Amino acid sequence: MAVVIFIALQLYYTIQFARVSLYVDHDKPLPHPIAFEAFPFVVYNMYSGKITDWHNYNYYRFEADGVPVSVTGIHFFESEQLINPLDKYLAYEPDSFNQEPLHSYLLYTLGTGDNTQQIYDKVSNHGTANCHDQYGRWLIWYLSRMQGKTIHAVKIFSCHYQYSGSGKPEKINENLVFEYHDQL
Amino acid sequence: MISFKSIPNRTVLARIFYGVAVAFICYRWVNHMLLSQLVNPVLTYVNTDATYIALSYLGIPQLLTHHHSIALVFDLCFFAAALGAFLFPNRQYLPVLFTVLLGIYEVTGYTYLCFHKHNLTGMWICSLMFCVVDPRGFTPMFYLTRYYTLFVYGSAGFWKFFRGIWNLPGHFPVILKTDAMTYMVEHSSGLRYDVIAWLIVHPGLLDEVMILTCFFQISFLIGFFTRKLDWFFFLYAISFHLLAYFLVYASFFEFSVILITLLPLSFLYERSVRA
Repeated sequence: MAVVIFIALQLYYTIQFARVSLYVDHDKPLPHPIAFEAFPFVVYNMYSGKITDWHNYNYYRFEADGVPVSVTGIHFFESEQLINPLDKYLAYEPDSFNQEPLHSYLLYTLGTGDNTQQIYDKVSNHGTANCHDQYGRWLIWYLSRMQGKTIHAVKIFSCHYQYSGSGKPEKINENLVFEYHDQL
Repeated sequence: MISFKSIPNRTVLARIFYGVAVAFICYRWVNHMLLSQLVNPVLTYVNTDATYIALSYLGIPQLLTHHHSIALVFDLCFFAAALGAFLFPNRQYLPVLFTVLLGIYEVTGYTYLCFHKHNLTGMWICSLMFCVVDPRGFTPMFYLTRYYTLFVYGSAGFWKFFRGIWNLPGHFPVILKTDAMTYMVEHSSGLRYDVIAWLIVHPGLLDEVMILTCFFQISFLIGFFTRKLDWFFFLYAISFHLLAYFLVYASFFEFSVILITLLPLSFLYERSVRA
């Protein structure tokens, strides 16, 4: 019985992913929020999503106390722990860390009651006070451990690149996207 | 090649699986990826995954990552469960404990990684089958896990056909350029650099590789009807993961432990009573 339920749920989320894909790949808005996976019922699409911007090649340049930090010089586990939260920080920060897809999904699934807002505040970054300072402190701690010495300041630049005819990346521009100084 | 009725040898398979699990936990400890080593990460990402939302609402990820002593106890129990299951593979509570702790570790870790990878999901699915200690119950669980493995790789190929990227010229080169960007910026020479640069200027080759990859992946569905291609599936999957790691540092090694269900090695099976 448990096996039947597992297979049914896996098929359900597979179909949900197919539905989302049809809307996304044909540039149509979703009629309502659709969840396409719930651990352990996940979708293994392995690079099947279309990349829409074929000329956006981005690199994050880290500076710790003014010294460049090599992201590839550390284990990829640690570099992922550095890069992925940064991506989310930069995506959420302009909207005060509101996560509208999550909010919409919760409203659609649970209704518009007070409980829904309470759940959203608890599971999202929206309710995190002083997110910039908290994230900056964690980043300094994490870089300090990576570097094996205490870091006091971090700067992150978003660098836009293109590839030359010989397959080598060439920088187009860079912008400072995050900065934090340890107040202590 | 197996020529008799194949009953998987649970004890041998469990020793392999939990031995690999112990190794992976140690590997993650060395690379500071256990929960006690994250220390107060700030940003979370639950997406619209009900499991992630539920665990975050219960406060479990926050409890584990913001209280070092609790996280340390968790990590020690996680390691002890894997090691215990390796040493005593026929004790049922150890695989169950490991499965539960692995699930919590995965959801918590990926919540704060802010990216829901599926690398550990394969290990988790594989660990489920070892929760059945009785050999008569283990055999169907083993073959169901084998079918799940085939489903995973088959669906990877299927989605590429479904979403129309299997023969989209230039798409795979863009994937390579995007994912290898960090490496290419921070290095200017070396074998890996030269290979990636060469591939980038030969996009036609990458397009052909994408087409071949799609067909190879969807061919895994044939495995639902025969076991004669298991060697091919196993070798292809390993090759695919090694190539993905070499080119774009995409690591599926922890997931690939589920490939033991495709290994037709005689010592992994025991003769059935009927055979």
